[in-house]
Amino acid sequence: MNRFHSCRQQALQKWDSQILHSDIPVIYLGTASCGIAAGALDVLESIQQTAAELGRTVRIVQVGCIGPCYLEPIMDIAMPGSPRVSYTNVTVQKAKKILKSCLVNNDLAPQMATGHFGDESFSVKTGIPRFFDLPMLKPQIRVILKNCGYIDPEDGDHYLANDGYLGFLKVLEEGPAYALAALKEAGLRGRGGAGFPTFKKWELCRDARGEQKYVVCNADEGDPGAFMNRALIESDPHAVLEGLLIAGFVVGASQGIIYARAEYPLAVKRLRKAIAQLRDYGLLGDKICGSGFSFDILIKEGAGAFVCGEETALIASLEGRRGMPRPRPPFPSEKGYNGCPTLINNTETLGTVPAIMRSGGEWYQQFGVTGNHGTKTFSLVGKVRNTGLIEVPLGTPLRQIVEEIGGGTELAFKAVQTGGPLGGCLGPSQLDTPITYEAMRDQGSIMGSGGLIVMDESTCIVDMARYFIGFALRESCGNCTPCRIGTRVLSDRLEKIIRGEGEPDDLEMMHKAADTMVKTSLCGLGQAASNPVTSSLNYFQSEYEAHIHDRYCASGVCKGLFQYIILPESCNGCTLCAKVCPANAIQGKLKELHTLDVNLCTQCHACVEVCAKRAIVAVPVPASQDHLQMSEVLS
Amino acid sequence: MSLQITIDGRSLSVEAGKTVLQAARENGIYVPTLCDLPGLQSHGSCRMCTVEIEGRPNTPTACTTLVEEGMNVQTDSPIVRSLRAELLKLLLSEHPACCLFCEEKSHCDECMVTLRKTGVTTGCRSCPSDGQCDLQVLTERLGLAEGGYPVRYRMLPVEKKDPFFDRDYNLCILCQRCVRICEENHFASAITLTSRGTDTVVGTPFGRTLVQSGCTFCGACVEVCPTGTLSEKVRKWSGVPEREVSTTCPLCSAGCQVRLLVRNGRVIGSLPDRARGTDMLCVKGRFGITEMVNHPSRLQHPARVDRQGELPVTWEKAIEIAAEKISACDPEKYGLIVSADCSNETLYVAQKFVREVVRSQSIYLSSAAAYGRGLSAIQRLYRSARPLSTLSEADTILCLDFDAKYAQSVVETELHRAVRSGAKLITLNDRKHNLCRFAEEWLQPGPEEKADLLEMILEFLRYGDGKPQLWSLPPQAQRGARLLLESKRPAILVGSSCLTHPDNVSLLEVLEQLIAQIHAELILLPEKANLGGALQLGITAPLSTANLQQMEVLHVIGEALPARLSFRPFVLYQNICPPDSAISAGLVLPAAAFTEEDGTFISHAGEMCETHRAVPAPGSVLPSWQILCRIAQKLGVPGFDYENETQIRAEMESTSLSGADREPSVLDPFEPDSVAFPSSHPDDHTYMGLPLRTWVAGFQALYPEPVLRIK
Amino acid sequence: MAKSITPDLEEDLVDFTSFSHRPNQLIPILQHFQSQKGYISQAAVNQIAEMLGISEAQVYGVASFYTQFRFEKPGDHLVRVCMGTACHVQGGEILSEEIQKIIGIRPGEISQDRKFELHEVACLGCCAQAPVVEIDGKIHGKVTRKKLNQILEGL
Repeated sequence: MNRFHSCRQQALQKWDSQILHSDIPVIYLGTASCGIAAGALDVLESIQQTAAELGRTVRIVQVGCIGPCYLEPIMDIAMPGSPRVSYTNVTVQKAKKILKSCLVNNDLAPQMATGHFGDESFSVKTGIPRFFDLPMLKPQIRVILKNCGYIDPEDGDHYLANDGYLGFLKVLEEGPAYALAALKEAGLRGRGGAGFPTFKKWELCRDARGEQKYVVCNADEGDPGAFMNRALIESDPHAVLEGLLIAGFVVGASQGIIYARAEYPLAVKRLRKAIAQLRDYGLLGDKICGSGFSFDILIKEGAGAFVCGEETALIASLEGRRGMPRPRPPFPSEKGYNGCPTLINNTETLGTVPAIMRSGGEWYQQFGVTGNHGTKTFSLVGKVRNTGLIEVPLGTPLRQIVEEIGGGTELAFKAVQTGGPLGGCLGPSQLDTPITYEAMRDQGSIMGSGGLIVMDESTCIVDMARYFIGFALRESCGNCTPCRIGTRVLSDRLEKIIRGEGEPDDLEMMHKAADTMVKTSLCGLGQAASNPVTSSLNYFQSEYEAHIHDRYCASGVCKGLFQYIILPESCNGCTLCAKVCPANAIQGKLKELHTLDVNLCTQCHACVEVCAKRAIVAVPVPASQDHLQMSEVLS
Repeated sequence: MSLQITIDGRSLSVEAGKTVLQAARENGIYVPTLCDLPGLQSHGSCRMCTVEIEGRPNTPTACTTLVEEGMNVQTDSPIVRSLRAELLKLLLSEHPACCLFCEEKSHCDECMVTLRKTGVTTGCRSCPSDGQCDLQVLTERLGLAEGGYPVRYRMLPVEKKDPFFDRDYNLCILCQRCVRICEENHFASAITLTSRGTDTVVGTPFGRTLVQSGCTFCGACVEVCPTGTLSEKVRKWSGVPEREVSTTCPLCSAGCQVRLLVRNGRVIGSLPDRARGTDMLCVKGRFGITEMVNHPSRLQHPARVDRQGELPVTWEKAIEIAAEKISACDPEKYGLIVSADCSNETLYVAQKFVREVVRSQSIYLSSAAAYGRGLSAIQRLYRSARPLSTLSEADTILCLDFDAKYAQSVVETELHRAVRSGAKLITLNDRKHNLCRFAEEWLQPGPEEKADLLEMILEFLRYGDGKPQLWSLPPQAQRGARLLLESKRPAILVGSSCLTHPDNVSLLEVLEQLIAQIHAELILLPEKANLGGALQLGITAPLSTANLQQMEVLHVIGEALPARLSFRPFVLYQNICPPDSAISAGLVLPAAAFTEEDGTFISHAGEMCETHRAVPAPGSVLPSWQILCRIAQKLGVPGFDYENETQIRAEMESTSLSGADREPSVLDPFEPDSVAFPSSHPDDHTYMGLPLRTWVAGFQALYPEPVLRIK
Repeated sequence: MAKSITPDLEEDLVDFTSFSHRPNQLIPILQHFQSQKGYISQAAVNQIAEMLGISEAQVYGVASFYTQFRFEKPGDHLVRVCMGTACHVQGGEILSEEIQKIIGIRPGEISQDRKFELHEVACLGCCAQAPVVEIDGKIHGKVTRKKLNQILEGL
């Protein structure tokens, strides 16, 4: 206990002197995967170089994801005595310019700034808005993401200085009953998607008989379009570790396992580092903090199987076997890894636990709605203007998320896919649905792990359905008949429809196969794999029918089921389209109407992407046109 | 504890811990299944046994759902029926099924169209499992009239490179019975699921052959495959068996119980007889029998051989010639060689023949030379030999010179089971073998050092670490010896290579002392089925070269001709197949195979095992004992009027086979002068003198070269 | 019994002493081997089976289930195109087609000169930067046709 306390004291001092009251400029840079993908490492190099050139000492703090990934790379500067100011979409040159301005001229360059972390008076003074008043961020409530973007995820002291492990200490003191009561009152439900009451799961595991128990953090975030868990681990790994420790203590486990995707090497690296730091703090090992609780954490990497996010498949993977789900009962909390009681929780669920332990269940209840308490992170991606990681209270209407936080779509909104590849597509008439476990299910979708993929009129729903079922087809473990063969049947049908070979009874065949899958599949993957297909069939039937009867894809996605024309009323003759066309299918002189030769067109989409006037549209192929010729051209 | 549940409106009392499927079956309620197999853990992958259970969402599978008090199950509601039909349709969309829904179905049976010329299965009529397929049965049962889903033919190449059976995974429904039985029941795991999702195929690593993948060809997978995916090469077009006949496999001394499948008066296959205690056969009993007894080279009619060649003769003529030659011959110049493959009846009558017809003692056991002076020790050990099932009770097992990879692979499975229940296995073998993968200790002395090592272990067992002057044991041997010392129920398993070892006298001597020291159970596994019978009857004399040189009439029953026949006796060759070396003068007398006569032999545990007549003998073939009787009768000797094997047995029981063993007669000095029979080496796996390789094509893949030829 | 010896069965064995030889270590061991040699060879399967006391078929059955493991030597440059939902919506498939055209191979293939290897992967987790391509471990976001050509030419 003493060791931990002395570490904490040191950490608090360090935080105060290095961050809160630093006497040298502190430069924050987001280096989670999203930042890196945007080029943050080059910016980092630039910052280091520039500071060296200017002969100035600065403190660079690499932080995690602060949310609006579409603004990455994000660089923040806190000059001594000033609040932190945020600059976004920072390129190497822009970084240089800003640094020079700040470090040499003491000029914060407000015209280049996006937001600040100070109070209202600073906004008045500089004209820079508060960062969290930005439209994307204002409606958000950051409970889980509290530390993300603030602390250096590779420096455990930062976590310690920000209430780190106080939740765990409290539980250690008050006992497991306190923790369970707090969880119950908080109403936390499994954030992996199933929404099972967390306190109940912990209770079942605690009550299960067995000397050896395990707690597993499910960090196998396989949903394409979802990166909440990755962002959390890369930005604040200790939150997850603290949750794991608490869980271990409450259920009586001595071994924690983090099952992380192999595709998340940075997350794994940061976890390993954090675990090593935990050992240094004396929070792992035998008799932690003088209690009778001994615990250790190891990391096991997944090997590329989405199905291993399913609990029994995860366990199979841990046991070194093919990741094929097993029939339940028995449930993992009774008989899991190595036949022992095993608690499996999602990363975010565990990441939420420390806050609840610190501040109590009643505090957590204030967020969200009845039956769906608290907040949840979502990945808002796709055709919205503001993409990134968000955290909102449960019960927030979809519309607010898409239009307010997401900033809406450029083209007309078409649908939002919720819950990952096993979720459903909801259309404009469902936008007022509040995000709760039940409401999502009632609309034919699921909350899932929190992926929200926004689509506009340039997205073809039939193509999306094909995409999702293709995913399910590849990720199906293949064990049970309905999923293995059903996904293939659905995929084949959709491929056929997209090729323009759809037949009237295809829809009925798909409904039937989907029904069999839902009712008889062995695990959740099979049961939900047909969701994207059935939900889109229900809400967008007309689009399917157009594909089948009219062989027409209005979104201009399915090759051969449309042809491009250039609208005379919109074209301004900028010739950009003609320049990018790889097939030389567009002819026209500058400032004059351009024409597109459908026989040469390969439907690669390049012209549509560059046309600022949206003058190129997809129209049905005239019936007289030789269909065969078109498909020859395209192959 | 008993629970009350309702299935289809019927109130039932079921034991707690049972599944809904078990409960239904016990009460005569039909629930279709494909992946389920009694004896294997329930799997729940085919989903066919889907049922409605009140209060549960969707339709759970009966095979994985445990019964609960008050449960209300519907196995045949409209929803269930419809779901099952859909599931079957999905399966049939990936399985050639055109025959199932063809309008010509009823005519097809009658005209037997030449669809079978196709090398690949395109429908039921071209499938080897036509009439023996669970999908066919299910389709009929569910009354399915059409496929409903577009067909997907996976275009997988048919796997034909392995012996004994082909694998056509285009027909596979992924019930995984084959993978599961290989893993759970036989512990070989030679096949596995590869890839995943819709690309899942049962296969071997990197597409290796089964031989390379460690398959022991027990054939369990083929037996449990519900479709035509796995099909025996020899049985492909044989059709549905008409009846089954129980018998014992005569290809080694294990005494496994076999069901012979019979159709149209021929044996078409052999399977383990679970009802009589055998749940697994080794490759010999599983795949060796059918080809052997149906081999085209089977002798069918008697023939006379002389300088002009081979001339078929009638039995009358043959017996006449034989009788003439024997009566004209000096009794000392007649020799009768029998093998340990012969049944007790044949051995008994043969011994009686030599004694009362020829009036000499010249009956020789062909494999005696291989056992040498160790034969008397073996005879002693036989008295205390225990059955294979003893292994399941042991806590420590010492295996001497045992490599159960193919032949006798049932033993390896028993050893696996024992080890999984906590027994410790110590294996002693100079070569790498299958057992060392899961043995606790592998003792690896050189081929000449086995007896010495056992001696050292014996010393350790007697005196413990107390005697520092003892030669130091290598570490594994020390650990192994310690395990034996601490064992409460030790067992020692002696393989056939050990029994025929050149140094077997000292080996067996040490072994006897070892057994006595730790009170171990002994399990002997000679390679020949009826060594026990030969020993009990006292037929143990090896043939010496001196004797052989003198012979005028050489009578050989159930064995190949001796290696060096540089001179020319008159040969009476009595066997099921022609001799491998030429006869210059003699008679070829066709004998019945074990499938064509009743008989007995004494197994490794000293127990009487029966073979039963399953099919009529081909041609004019006669049981071996009957041939001898006819010669005796021709020579006017009484006491050879047996009408059947039962009479012989009755006589045997009242005279010699009731425990009185004779001391085996042994030549002294032994080694240089005994005649080696080519078939005597256990690793050659012979039957009736010829390597199984000769009759059964598949054995050439498993045993490509003869291991040793004793010169 | 005869085992057909293919060339890579004679490779050097990999050091596994840091792992416990229990079957539940199979996946980490496979991952270790692949990180050392770049792929899972026949020799690897044999060695691992021997070490863990399980059959080669069991090792291969597990390895072939997970997409992380490959059984063929990798190409010099590994190009992975993200086919996650967000990337799909932002033109991931079209990007993939472009790459296929430029390099001249299809996903899952290695180019003749073994210079490039192309794969489509389920999701790289950088959805807000869609469409994403990972080349030799480096992630490139918001990849346009122009950017793509620049990157590939650089190799």
